[in-house]
Amino acid sequence: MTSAFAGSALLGQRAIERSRRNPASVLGAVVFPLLFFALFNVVLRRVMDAQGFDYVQLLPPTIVVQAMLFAGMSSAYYVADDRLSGITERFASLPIGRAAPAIGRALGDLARAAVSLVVVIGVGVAAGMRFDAGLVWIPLFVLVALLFSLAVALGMGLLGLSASSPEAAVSLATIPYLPLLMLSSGFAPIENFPDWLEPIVRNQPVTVTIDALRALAGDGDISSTVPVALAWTVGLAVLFAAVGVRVIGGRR
Amino acid sequence: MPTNEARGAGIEVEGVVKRFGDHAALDGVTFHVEAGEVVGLLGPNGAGKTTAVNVLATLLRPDAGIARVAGYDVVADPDAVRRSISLTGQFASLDDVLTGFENLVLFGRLRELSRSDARAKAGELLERFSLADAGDRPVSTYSGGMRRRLDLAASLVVPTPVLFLDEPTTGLDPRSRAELWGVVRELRDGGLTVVLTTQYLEEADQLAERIVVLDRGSVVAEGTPNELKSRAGGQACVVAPVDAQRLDEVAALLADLGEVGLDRELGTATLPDTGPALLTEVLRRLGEAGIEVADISLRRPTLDEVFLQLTEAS
Repeated sequence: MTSAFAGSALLGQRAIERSRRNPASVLGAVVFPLLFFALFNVVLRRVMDAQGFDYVQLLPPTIVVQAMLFAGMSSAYYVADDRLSGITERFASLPIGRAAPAIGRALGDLARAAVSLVVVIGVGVAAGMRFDAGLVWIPLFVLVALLFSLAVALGMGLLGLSASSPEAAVSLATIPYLPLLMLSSGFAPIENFPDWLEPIVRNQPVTVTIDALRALAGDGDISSTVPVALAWTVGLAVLFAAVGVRVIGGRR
Repeated sequence: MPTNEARGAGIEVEGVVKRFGDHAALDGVTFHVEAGEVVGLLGPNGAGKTTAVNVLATLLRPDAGIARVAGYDVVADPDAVRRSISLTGQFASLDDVLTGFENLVLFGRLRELSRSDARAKAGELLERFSLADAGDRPVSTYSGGMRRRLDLAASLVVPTPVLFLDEPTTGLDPRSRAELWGVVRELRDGGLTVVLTTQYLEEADQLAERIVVLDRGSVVAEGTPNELKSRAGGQACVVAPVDAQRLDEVAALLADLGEVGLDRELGTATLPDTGPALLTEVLRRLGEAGIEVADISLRRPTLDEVFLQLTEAS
């Protein structure tokens, strides 16, 4: 029997190959984050700097989280496409272990996120962002970002499991994306939100993750932000994975 | 692994029940397939054919009953079952983005072939299925017939003793269908155990040594194609009077020639073909009664009629 490990690796390779050949995925992982970074930098940097913020430090973590959301969202498309094409069933009939297709999928999601992450960090550093907390925190910065993307991908995969078409899955996936991103500490300081909204904005996973990434880049307290972000992302990932297992298991 | 190394293995299905909510897709299905036998699961949409295949392929867990494939229980030992089977599903389940060659390499690698063996096997199968020229193109550019051939090839990269073909020719043009039939015949002659589902009597007739007829989750008949055809009454004579109001008159006139079936929607009367003189006899009687005939024909029974007769008989 193909070991579950070998099967997962092969299906991971396949997922990466599919993303690589899909112009929409390349656009989403590379071009969009660059575009967002450039636009926000041009439009808001002077305004924010004038108010005493260090925008070139604040913006990259936001764009990282945005890119991680984007990378994860594609999972809805790929899961739906595999399910509707019937290839999911074919994989399930192969002696590769039940978990291999899901692990392969996750590897593909992570690879997409990693490419996007490298692009954003690269352009951020080029624009003047510094890891002031010390370079030793970069691995944790990467880990928090990728775990966040994995949690998003697992959640979006659930949409893919039930959507009527890959396109419908993507449409559904964009619904939580904008409010989660805009109602966060990403683009505007939390104090600027209405009082009743502030606690939600302050504690929702996107804010928590952005705050942790900012801290790891030298802007904030690592010990009070990173554990919260890890708890959120790991918790959501486990929850979404468990629901996915139940949904798939319930269909048998 | 050369093709002829795989030898067929048997299948036992005993009282298998599979429910989806309140609906029993399989309601106590029992049938057996001998090693090396080609069996057709025949039935209309919703009869439970695909559900039966999915239970045998370990994709669905039966709610009751026993199913063994190649001696392994599908519930207790699904991995052993998966090692023994290949599934070609209803929708040519391939990766559209990858090329034909890459698809075959992927499925070979997933079944433990080394990279070089998988590549060699992929090239060989593309050649055998007349896809060599298209091997480097993404599957999304393939025609329906090419996809089905590649789909079947993907199931043969590493030959397994049991092959499931779920409606392998649905949606194909007659030429592609004939090509695929040729391939399945080769496999049959190679000694594989094949279970194929189909809604087409003709397809089951062409390929299967034995047919299991499913209807609404139960086995309603079982036998060789010839046995079933004789039970279904062979050819039928269909008469359509110009005035559909006179169907009952037609039925009364022909009653002594055989059991007359009426289809009021279509406005036809059908009776079993009893010999070469039947057609002229029917026309003579209707002519004498002054009933004008819009259409009269001799034809093989449709699957619907086979079903009606089989379910009435059981």
